[in-house]
Amino acid sequence: MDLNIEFMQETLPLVAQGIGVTLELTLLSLLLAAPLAFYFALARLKELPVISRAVRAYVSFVRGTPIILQILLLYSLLPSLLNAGVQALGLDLNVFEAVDPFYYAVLIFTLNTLALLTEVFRSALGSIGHDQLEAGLAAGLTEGQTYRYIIIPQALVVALPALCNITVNLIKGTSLAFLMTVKDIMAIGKVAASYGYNYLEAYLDVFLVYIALCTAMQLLFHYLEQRLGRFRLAV
Amino acid sequence: MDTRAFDFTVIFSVVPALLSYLDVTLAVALASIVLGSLWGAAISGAKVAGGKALRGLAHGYTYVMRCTPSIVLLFIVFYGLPVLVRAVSGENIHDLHRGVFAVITFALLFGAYISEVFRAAYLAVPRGQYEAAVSIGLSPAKAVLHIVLPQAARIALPNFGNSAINLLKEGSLAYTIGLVDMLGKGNLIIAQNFGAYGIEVYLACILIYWGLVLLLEAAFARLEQVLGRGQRQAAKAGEGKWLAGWQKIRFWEKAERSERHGLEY
Amino acid sequence: MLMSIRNLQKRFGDNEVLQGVNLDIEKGDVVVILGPSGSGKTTFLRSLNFLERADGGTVDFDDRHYDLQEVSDRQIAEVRQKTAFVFQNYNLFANKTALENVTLGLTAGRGVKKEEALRIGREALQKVGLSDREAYYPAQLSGGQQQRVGIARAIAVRPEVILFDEPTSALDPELVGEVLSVMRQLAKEGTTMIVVTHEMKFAREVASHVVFMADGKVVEEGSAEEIFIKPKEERTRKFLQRILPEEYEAAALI
Repeated sequence: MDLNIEFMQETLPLVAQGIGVTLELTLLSLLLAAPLAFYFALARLKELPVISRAVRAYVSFVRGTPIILQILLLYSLLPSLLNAGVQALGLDLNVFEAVDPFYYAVLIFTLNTLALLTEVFRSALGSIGHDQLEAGLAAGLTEGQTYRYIIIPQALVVALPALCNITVNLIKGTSLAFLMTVKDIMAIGKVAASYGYNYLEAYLDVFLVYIALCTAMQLLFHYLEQRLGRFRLAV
Repeated sequence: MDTRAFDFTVIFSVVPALLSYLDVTLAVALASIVLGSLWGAAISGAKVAGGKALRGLAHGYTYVMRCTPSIVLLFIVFYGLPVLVRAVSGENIHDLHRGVFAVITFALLFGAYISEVFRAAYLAVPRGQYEAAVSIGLSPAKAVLHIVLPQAARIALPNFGNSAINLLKEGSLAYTIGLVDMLGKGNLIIAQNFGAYGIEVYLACILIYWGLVLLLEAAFARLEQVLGRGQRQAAKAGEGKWLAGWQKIRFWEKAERSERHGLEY
Repeated sequence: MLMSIRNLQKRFGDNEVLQGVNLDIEKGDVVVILGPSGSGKTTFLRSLNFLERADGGTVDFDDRHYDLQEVSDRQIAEVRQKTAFVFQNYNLFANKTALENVTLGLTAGRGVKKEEALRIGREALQKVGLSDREAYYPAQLSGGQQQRVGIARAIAVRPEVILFDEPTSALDPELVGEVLSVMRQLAKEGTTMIVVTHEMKFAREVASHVVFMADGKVVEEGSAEEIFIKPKEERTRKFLQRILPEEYEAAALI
């Protein structure tokens, strides 16, 4: 089997340069989705009448459809929508050239992550017994304080394995951002692949970079879990 | 890109054309699930009963698959398999149906995920079940076959359902290597219209997928209900065991295990 | 009068759990509430701290009047600032050390400065005999130790009254003693306490006032002597007989 090892060695650092964009996309999506996901999770737990149902439908839709279709649909829809909005405002702006596709990608992955995070937060918050809230209230704390000092820190530790999963899956999922011409790991690999028809070699490089990146991320979460979860360890 | 108005009726008018390719989508998913389950059973067997080397290999494989974006694996199989086959047997398989590459890719992925589901379910059956079977004279193999595996299968069902549904969704990536399945057909329609109707076609596709997933979820829930009688206890016991031991396991194993909670890959 | 409760009512669906309960508490009282399970005594206690919301009734507490049906969030906060609650299952904050458990109500809940809170917290832990456990997390403590931290958490905020909800019933028998002895000590120091418990010996020794509840009503109340030695009501007598079968020999009790 004739693999062009030399090409692989030359391309690997090139592909690795995409780590920045991949991580940016991943972390931005997580950070942007988290606050709203927290609110959605609370809405579900407290069974707020309308919101709770809407959140359920939203989560069902996002989890029940392929991410690639979410990307294809929104990437066709968003620029047109934005353009219509800009024109309605009478602004002289060419949306199709002015907006970096990276921002569409951030929005799309944020919307996707929002649904997944909502479920994780909901089950994590739900796993912290009502007794902790009662204890906080009885100790003279407000509900907000009890969430801040007691419930959220505990729920976070419960949620860490699932958060790790979401993060790793998101890193993998952003590999589809090349469909929006975002220059992430996958996109760089794809460009390298067509250079001299070294497809297999280029994608093997991509493969290696993703394994390294996911491993680093999992080690980080493992460390976090050890650190934040100390209170759970009995002597 | 044009700014033509969104045409609601197109969504409905493309549905028949899309549905006529649903069989390809379903066939790829089904074949991947069947082959992947066999492959996954073999891997979980290696994890549960294998020697040290085999066990390490099985865990390593699962770990690597977990870290690989499906589309990357799809491209590696699509471009790499012909190279590999030519090197080994000299045959040229470049013209093989695209569906074959898709099925191989998704079977490889599904095998890794489902092996963890199988393994966890197998370990969730209380040891006493096996001991009781052996004590009444069954051979170890028969005890596993008649007593442990049927119980494990029912424990595995919810996570199997989740993984199968995820696989159906992942299958939509196959159009990127040129397979004309439902989404592939949708892209052809868009191309025939010179890029118009993208929104409508994708919306139709996404709604069909959503409907399918909801249907499958309901079907698996029903199946669980039917098969679930008398199984609650065993499943619960297993869960407890898993929770108690989870702090000791190494992070890559933990990562595999938490996959069982049905998050998408 | 520190606290005066009138006509407290609570229902869960069709089930009338509290059917107009009255109770008066003086400063320094140790009120013990007895009763069979389902009598509403825990609900009554929880209503006083608004962990359950009563459907009707009034409470006069520390010179303020509260209408339970339309009590505001601000009023709830006010009452909770002046009371403390000891839970059956301890309910220690799982992610906080013993000392943090005790100080959080002071710092976050009452705006006490950190150093001052630490000083008070250590003092409270010392009082319950757990000075050497201040850095331990709840998961590292025995049930009895956890409950003592729970009590330290309650006394640290210097409440007007401490509400105890079956504080020993989740404990292994050999751990009950350490908790009761802390409670005895508090009673001796004049702490105002309302205690729901099944510990009859504790009730006899410590209670200044005993209330017997059944079916959501106060059946009978009086001094420990009155209730244990010469209960007037048949229900009280039956209950005591069931709970103290061998011992229930009226004269032998005190």
